[in-house]
Amino acid sequence: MINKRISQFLRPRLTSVFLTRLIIVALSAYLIFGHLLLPIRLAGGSMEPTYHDGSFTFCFRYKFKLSSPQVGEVVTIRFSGRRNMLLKRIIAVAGDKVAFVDGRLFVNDQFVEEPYLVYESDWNMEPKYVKENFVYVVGDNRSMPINNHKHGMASIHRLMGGPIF
Amino acid sequence: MKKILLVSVILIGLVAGYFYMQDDQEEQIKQQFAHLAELVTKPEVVNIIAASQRLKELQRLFSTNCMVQIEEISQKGNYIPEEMASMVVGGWRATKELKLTFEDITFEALTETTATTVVTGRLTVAFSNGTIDTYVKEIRSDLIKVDGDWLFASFVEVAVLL
Repeated sequence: MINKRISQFLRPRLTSVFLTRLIIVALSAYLIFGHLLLPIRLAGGSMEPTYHDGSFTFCFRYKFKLSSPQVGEVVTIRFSGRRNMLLKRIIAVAGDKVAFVDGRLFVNDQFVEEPYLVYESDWNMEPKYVKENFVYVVGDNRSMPINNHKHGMASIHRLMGGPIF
Repeated sequence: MKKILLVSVILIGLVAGYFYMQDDQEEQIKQQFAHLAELVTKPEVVNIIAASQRLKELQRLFSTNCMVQIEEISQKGNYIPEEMASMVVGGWRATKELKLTFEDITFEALTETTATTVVTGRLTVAFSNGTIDTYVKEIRSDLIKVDGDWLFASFVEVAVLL
């Protein structure tokens, strides 16, 4: 009985039911993994220790269709297409004033507690105002010199979504 | 009725032809990017004759004045094809391995003789001391068609984070 089922699984008969199922599965996979949950492999350690170099997750594309980007959220920022993205955390939104003083984040002149930070940082950055339709993003790993870390204002039109885990 | 049908068929043909031509042009430009990436990538064994041939081929991909504005690659400026090739040779000399790829090519404008594209360039370099660096940049690149060939006229970095 089991052998017969395995045999049927490995060598299915090309019936209309089978073909319909195959088309539905292929279409669902295309829609889910091509448009809804994009598989992403992380390269680089700018989000350590929250996300590790080489780890894998999915980017939920419609995150910002349902809500606007919020401070503290981890987001993916696209380049010219969908094959390359940056993974960063939003630390300020449009109109906010952002500054770093001795590794501590200040938004609108208020010190911001960041529980996700583990590594020591000595960053200093003059205050910057976040432009309209932009968010300020930075990685969780600020142990490297500030000039070696990609951070700054990202257009909300470049936000692809956010990781689901 | 026949007249309407005939006009419809001609219109559909013209529209289809237009899109076919567009696709054809886009395909040619994508191939130029792939060719550029292939020629810039450092060969495993740098044979002088083969390298010289490769550099000549590389020079033929650029317009007489190619504007480059990419941090970490070169000074902002206009370069002749020979200078562009020298830049690549400099990259080969300074690295153990050098690999360039272009992904996600999108077209902002396309005419019979000019094109503006936005592309993601990924440059991976390995040094003799074992360090490996990867640079990912969004680049706006203009191309012009000269004698049937699409030539690169500019490479300007687009800031993803301001």
